[in-house]
Amino acid sequence: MGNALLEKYSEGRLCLADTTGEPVLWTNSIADAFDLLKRLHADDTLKFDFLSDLTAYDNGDRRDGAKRFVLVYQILSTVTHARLRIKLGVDEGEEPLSLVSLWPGANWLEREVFDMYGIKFNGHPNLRRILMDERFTGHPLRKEYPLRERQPFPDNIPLHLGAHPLPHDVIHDDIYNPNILINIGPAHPAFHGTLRVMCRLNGETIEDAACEIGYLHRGMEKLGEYKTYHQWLVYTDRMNYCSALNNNIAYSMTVEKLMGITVTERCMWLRMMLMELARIIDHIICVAINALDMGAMTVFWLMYYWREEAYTMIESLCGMRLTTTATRIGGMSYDIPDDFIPRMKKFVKDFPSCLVEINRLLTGNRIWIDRTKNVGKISKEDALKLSITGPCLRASGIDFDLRRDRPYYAYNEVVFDVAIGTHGDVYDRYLVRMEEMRQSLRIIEQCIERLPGGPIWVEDPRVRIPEKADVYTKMEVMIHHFKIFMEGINVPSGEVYNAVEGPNGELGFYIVSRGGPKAWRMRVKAPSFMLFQSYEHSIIGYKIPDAIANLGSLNIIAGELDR
Amino acid sequence: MGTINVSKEYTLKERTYLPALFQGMFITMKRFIQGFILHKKYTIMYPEEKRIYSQRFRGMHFISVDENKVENCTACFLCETVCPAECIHIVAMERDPATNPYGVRKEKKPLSFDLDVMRCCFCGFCEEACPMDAIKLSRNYELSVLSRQEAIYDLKYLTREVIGRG
Ligand code: SF4
Ligand code: SF4
Repeated sequence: MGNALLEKYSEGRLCLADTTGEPVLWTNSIADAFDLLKRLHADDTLKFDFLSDLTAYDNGDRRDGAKRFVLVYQILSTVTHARLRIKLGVDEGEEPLSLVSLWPGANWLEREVFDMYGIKFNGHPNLRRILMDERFTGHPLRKEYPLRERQPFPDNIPLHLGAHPLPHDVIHDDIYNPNILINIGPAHPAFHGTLRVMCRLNGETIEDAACEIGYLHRGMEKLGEYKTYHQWLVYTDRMNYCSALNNNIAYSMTVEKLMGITVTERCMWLRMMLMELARIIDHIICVAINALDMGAMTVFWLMYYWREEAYTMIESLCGMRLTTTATRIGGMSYDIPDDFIPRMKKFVKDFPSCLVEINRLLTGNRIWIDRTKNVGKISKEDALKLSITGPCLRASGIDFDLRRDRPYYAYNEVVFDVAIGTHGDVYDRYLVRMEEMRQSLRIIEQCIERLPGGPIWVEDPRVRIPEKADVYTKMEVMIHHFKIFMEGINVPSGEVYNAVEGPNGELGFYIVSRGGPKAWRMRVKAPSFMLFQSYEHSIIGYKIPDAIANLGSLNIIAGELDR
Repeated sequence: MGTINVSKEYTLKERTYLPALFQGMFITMKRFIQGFILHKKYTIMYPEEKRIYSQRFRGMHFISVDENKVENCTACFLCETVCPAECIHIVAMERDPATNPYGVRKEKKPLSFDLDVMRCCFCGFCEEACPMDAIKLSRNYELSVLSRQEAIYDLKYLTREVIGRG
């Protein structure tokens, strides 16, 4: 963003920079914050049309102003690609204005802030708890809430329709009831993961829907404040477990940014290669399961063979197929094994044949087209309003990809195309994913070519885990080794938001550090969260089988949705 | 670095339905011949045939032993500290200096070493942290047990004989 433009908005407000130099604008009051966001949203030159994230952190130690909590808005422009973080201090009992009128996607985000911190939003249409049960007492992310204070409930939340009560004035006769309520999930074979949707049906058409989430909530963000940066790495595996490598890398990258570490060239290119491999795996799962849900079993078998190949490669690299824990802060757990590159080359050479086959089976197949075309449509405007990201955003026709538009690592040095769609339906999402797999292969090819030799670890004593051989023989190295594992990595205070283009959208980590080996606030901006919110809207007016097709194409991973 | 619009309209060929159907049938037949007639296999007959993982695989834990079959662990608590799942529980004791053949190299030893494998997330951090090369993860991935108690590996079980990484 041009500084002159920023100045226009920073009058009278505190404008700081975070650890990586990104602008942070402190607003002075609740009305001021809303006014500023409204003006930024409407500004024709800056075009802040996208709400990336809305969260809060506990300011119990009053290091960031005199208020108890700090609300954090991350906004983004899909046109100019600028990012801006806006902060607002709120005290207990104060009610900031809801952003739902500007970005309807803020709905769930505000509910989450309410759930976790107890901050009420003025003007929110349906301020209920979201991840926790309605009977839960207390707000888990407040610092005074103890870590292991579990509150088990014997039964489930009864069926409801979110903010929309059932219309009672409809006449019911014995034969035809236009208001049938059905519950799908949280354990339903067509709903992969613990997702629950409650629908009101008229005949077979869904007329209203509400999603209930939180069945897989494990308190990861809370744990992020209690585990060391090193330990928390394993939790990232369990978010989007279809592409754990991507999470590992995105997380390590964030902590590295916070510490001002630049990884070595080899590490960087290797990580890029792995991220693209993870993207391919994730898209394979999405397309294959989407087809499987609609009865196309062959696609599933054909594609899963390649997923297996990819997982074998990943296993030979880091020792685990799914929960990889492959990175370390400042490096990787292992350098690649000798046969990795030849295998990868073979994969890049042979995998396109699978894509050709799938293309033949699905793309021109009338059954597939009829099931997917014009189903689960999300228009361009809705996609922006609901803050969905990733392939689903691109399928709606918005040309935005973080890899190209806000490049990290060496993505500005590799050549690839961004695939976009037009209609934002299931068919376009499928086509976008197929094309992205081809583009990922292109990137992998370039990574293989350019993968330099040299060390995989950055030689920074703060993070470098010593070589085992030295630990056994050299005293100083042994002491250093003890220090790293006993005390953890000492991260200076500061804050950073770092997002990568994950397979199903913008995966961001927002870390506030107050120094020491543990984070003060560990926020995960998970793409599935916003995608599932859009699901509530995009299934209305369609039939139940369409809802299944729609869900498969959104690629919602419960581990990431609930965290 | 450009943008490709991958959106497709309904074409006449797709409307006619049959070409795509035959194309699909062709692929199915090709695969059928490969599988049933040419016996091209993609699966293995587990458990008769075992899948071999790489040397880096993180499976069932063990503690390496030295030439006298004494565990290499010196109860330094690094693994217990680093374990994100909090599944290692060690009680340390000192070796009697009079009868200790190892001298300063192994002054302490674990009196008990319990690893609750049902909590474990197989991250391998314990192996990475161990300064004595004692706790390790083997290539054994068959971890099923009949009772909860058996899933808590004690020192005796952990120091069982494992060759290489199993
Ligand atoms: S593998 Fe990880 S979770 Fe399991 S015992 Fe070792 S450190 Fe703990
Ligand atoms: S197994 Fe290794 S890390 Fe754990 S207490 Fe023993 S010597 Fe220390």
